[in-house]
Amino acid sequence: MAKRRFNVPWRQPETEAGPITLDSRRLYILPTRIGLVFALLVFGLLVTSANYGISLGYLFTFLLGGIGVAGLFHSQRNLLGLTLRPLAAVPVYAGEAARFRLRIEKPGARPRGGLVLNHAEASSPQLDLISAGSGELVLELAQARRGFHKPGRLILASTWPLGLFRCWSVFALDWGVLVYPRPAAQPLPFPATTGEGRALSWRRPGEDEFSALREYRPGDSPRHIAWKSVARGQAPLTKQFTGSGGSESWLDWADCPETDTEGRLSRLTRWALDGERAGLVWGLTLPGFRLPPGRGERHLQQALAALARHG
Amino acid sequence: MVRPDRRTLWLVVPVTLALLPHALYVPLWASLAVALALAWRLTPLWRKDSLAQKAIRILLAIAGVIATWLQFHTLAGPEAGISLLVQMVALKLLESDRRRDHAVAVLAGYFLVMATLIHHQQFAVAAWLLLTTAALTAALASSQASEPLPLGTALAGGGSLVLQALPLAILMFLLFPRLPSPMAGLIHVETGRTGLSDSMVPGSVSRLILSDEVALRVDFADPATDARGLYWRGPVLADFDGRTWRRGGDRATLPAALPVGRQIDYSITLEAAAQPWLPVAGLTRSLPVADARLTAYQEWRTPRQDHERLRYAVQSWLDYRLEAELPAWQRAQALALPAGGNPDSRALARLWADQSATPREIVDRALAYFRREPFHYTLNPPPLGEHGVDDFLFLTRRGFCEHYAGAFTVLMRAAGVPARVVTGYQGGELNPVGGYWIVRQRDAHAWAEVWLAGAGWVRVDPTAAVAPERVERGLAEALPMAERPLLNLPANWLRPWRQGWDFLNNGWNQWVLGYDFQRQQRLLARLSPSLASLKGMLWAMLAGIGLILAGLALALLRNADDRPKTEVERLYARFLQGLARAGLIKGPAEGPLDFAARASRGRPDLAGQIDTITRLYLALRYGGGAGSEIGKLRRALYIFRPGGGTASKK
Repeated sequence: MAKRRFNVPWRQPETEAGPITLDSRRLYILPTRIGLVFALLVFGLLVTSANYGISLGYLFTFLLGGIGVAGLFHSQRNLLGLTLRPLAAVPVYAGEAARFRLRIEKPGARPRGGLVLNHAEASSPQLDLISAGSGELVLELAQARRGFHKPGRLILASTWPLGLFRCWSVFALDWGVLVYPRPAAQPLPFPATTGEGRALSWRRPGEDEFSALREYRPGDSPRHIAWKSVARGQAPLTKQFTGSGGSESWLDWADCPETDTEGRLSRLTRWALDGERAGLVWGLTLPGFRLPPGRGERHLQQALAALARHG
Repeated sequence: MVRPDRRTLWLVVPVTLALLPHALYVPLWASLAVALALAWRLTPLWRKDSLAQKAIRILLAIAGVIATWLQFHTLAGPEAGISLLVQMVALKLLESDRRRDHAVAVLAGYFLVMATLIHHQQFAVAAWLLLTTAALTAALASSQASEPLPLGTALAGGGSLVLQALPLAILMFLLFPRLPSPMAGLIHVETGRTGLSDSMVPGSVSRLILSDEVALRVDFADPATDARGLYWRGPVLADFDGRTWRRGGDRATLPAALPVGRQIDYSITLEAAAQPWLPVAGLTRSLPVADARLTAYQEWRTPRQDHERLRYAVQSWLDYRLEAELPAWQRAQALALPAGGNPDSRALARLWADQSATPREIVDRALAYFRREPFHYTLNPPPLGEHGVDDFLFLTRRGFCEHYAGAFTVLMRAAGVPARVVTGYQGGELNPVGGYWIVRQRDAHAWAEVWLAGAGWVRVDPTAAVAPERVERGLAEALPMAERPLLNLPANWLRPWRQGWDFLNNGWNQWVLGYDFQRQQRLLARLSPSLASLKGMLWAMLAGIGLILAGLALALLRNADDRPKTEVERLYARFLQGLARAGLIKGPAEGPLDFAARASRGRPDLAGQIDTITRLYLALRYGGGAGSEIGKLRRALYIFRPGGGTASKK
């Protein structure tokens, strides 16, 4: 069994899969600046009461002190028992902001409020769960570089209910966003089609000759499904066609006019997007990676993911 | 008409509640300025980003400071400070829109509440204090929400915080070590207090008569004691200049006094007054008031010229012999009369002196004279001329207690009997709710003291000779019907309410406002002698705080939301807990039946019980099972002991 380390807020938290349910061991609490001013005020009131011998003043002073203490408990109670469920982040292109959505579920009917998700770079807008049972905190983080990026250390914080104390929990979720390379700004002609140099066929590209059957994958065109086998009660299969005769292009690392890695990836990304927009059939060749020609949203995403993760 | 948004109201209304009582104390122009500022804030005219309005705010702030300086010639004193604070809070409201501004305004509101307590600490103020504190706390909470909370939610939040704070507040109030005396000089707050004064002209006592204010409350150890027969001795007036009676000069010598007869015990709660006198009935040897002094005239007083509300226990003898031997200076003082004044009165007194064998006989002749001649007891005596006593005795014959006491004393002195005027209170009203007596300012009275050889100073109340009802039944009965003060007309149906209200106020005064160093020591010593020390108090305070924090933690942090609501769910949760201890944990998505099947496989020895409990649970939970079924479930769980069986460990 792993040795349990003492939980301190500045330690880099261990990455967890989520969902996380907040228990008191993961919550930290400290007074806010207003909380310190409040403490100073209570002290001042105590001195005033003692100075002038105001008996009711003592009672009022201690009442305020009690409100502060009760506020401390309420502050912790506000986060206690919440379940944090990371939702999948939609991939973005480098230069855009990724939206990390954290779903917050409260266990009972009691209102929870003032929830904010903090990151070293940005904070989410505040979420109040007054009557709703759950809601989403959206953290927008600008993504400058391609690749798979994890937000890392995150803080769920709240100064609810009085703003005198800040209660927070530090965690790192197994959570990330895929950032595609930024598409090159300058358009360049799409790479020429290969094969026998045939120009565009009247046929729809990629549908030339039947070659094999493979397992159905979500996203396959219904026109390619082998309905006969479905009718026989078998698992759905997808017909595959070799595109050798079609007008297919290869987006090749070596064909890029750019010479640096990022420049080439940007170029390839741009081509892939252009190709998808134009409805072309294309394949992708990177050093150590080869995506057979194809088309469609899924194909594009495979290509973009490969570009994002390259290197 | 655009209504101000809820967020604004949530800030302005609670802070206004805190500002309200200060309207009584700050200058009128400041109140008006604050009212206008608040009104401006609530109208759509107000813009937070307008540069022009920002300039106006700055100008207003400067104008406020200057005006305050012009009014008070300082900015530091409590009056000037509070006046300035009130204006600045209103200006803060004009700029507040961010969360931090809200918090600052609310904290200033808390301070305003405290500033009110300097003037007012009555029982009724406590209700306002609780309401305002809850409202301000709710305002603070409301500023935390991104959307303004519904009124009910916010108020319930603020109110419940105040309620949860109360145990700690009460504990600290009782145990926090009080100082034996205030740290610095008290702010002297003029409230126009009335009370006994150390001079008397005709009319000075009758002014008090119109006041319904409580002077003191008396709690007798023997509840059967009737306070109406007692004279509460205040300042003694021995110097007479022909019109005004004044206190004689103070001497270091204390009067010799011998108690006679039986002692009575009582405690007095004396309201705050701008006079130093501590009224006592009868003779007492000591008074448990810090630095209380006895004077040469057998008066008790505080060292300063005023006092806050005081409570003191008294043991006194109603009968006593005061100064059996009269010092020479006293005799000279008690016989002195201004030369040439009141010739007719002097002649009458000399006549009595010639006709009488003993001074006591002179006293009796004088009292008989008051009884015999047509004297009237009235609040509206006709004005008196240069020889006031002559006019009163022979011409007008209408007067109030001070006329009778003054004239009687002049007669006695003229006849060669040492005499002086004593002022104080006489009478009172029993509060049947609390079993104590209330003596009001309208019970103020003046009587005379004569010195008789062998007996010392003897009290003589000439008013009793004229209007015995005054002494026996109180003022209202003694006055002619048309003169009875309006306030005193006891609408009889109102009286129980007034008495109940006075009882509440008295308890409040005793236990909250009067809770000072001495009272704390006495209370704690009664609970346990070890508590009355500083160390004991601190330990008790720490222990109490620990207990209250534990209670709060238990009540607030034990996750109340996760607890099953109904008994059926609670019982099933216990069943699950039992199995969990035995190593069988129900998965979050596992249904009761699936889990029962799995659990039965894990613990075949319990299969029958598991099956029964699960069936009963499902029937009760989903099948609308009969009420008798719950008893079966309870019994089944009672005998369900998964820990003790033959555990089949994997």
